[in-house]
Amino acid sequence: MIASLPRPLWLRTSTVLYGVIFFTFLFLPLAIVAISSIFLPSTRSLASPPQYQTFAVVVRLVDGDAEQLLQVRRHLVPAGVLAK
Amino acid sequence: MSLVEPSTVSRHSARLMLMLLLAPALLWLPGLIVLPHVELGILSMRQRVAPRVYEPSLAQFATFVDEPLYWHTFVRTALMSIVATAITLLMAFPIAWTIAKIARGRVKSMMFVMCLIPFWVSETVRTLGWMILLRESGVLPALLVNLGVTPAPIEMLYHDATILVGLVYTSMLFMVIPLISSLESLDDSLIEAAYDLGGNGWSILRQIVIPHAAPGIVAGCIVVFMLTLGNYLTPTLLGGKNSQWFTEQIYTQFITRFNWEQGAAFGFLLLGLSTAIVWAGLKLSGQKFGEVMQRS
Repeated sequence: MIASLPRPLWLRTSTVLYGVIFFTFLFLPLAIVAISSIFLPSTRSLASPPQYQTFAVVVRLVDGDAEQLLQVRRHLVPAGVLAK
Repeated sequence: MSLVEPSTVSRHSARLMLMLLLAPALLWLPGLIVLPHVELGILSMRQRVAPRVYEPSLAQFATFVDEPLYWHTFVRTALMSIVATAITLLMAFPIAWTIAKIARGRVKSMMFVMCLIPFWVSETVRTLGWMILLRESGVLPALLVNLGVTPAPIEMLYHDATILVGLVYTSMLFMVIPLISSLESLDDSLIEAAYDLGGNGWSILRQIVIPHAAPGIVAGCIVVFMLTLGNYLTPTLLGGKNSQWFTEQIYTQFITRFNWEQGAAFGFLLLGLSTAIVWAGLKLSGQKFGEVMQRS
């Protein structure tokens, strides 16, 4: 059916309905991404895989009182150091 | 008195201009299309017999035939791509018809632009949107639980249907555009005359609209099928380990296993498959490749 011909009500309704469904399908993922990124920023500290887990090592400097906090990968530190 | 005739000078300058205009295409096509394919062809037909020692061989193709996983993935990729192309056509045709034949003025322009806007965003972001929607902790499973449809959130990712949704979504634009261009060239008076002569919606669609739009339909199907068959991101993200897409096998051979010979052979098999299916589609629909490509 074309615009110049009379169209029954059910056809006009179904055309509009299909258009709404189609454009919802096209825009829904984008809307979800936009809402997630703007209104729901992720502030959770998610657990990382074991090989990337880090822990704090406090190093007391010999020539001062300052303490330095280092993030060291667990697998890079020898077992003996961890025991101490 | 000049030694060179003015007509000769103008002919030389015209030839120089033609060469300059053709230069980018002459550099681009052999350098980025032909040469890499020749290199891949050579890679696919040799076998490593010792470190840095190669012999001509078809062992990679024999491996493909002998290993059922490769065969299954190959056939599955082809079938799913055909299904995705068919669904894309069925979904795109009504909207293309509405834009080309029913909508007028500003509504028509707005609908056309709305079809384009989602494709201004990268494919990765769009696929991630589907992941946020469909994952177990996502929007849709939570909605189903809140509505009381399911007792607990269900995992909607990593299914064949999810991969199909992603593939249809990703390639929708490439079906809509050729369909609109082919339907717009259909004269409205033909449809009016058909109704006057007693035709109904179905007979007009079958005898007037589809034959007229056939080049656009075939063009859209070819582009969508090729994009779907060669898609890596969407099946990987939405299908996970269950996706079993052939491009994943190619990636694994090249990147994970460093078996470039096998990867090149797989690449050529995929190229052969897409060429064969496109050729079969053209033969079945009675279209000519050149005519179809003008619509795409």
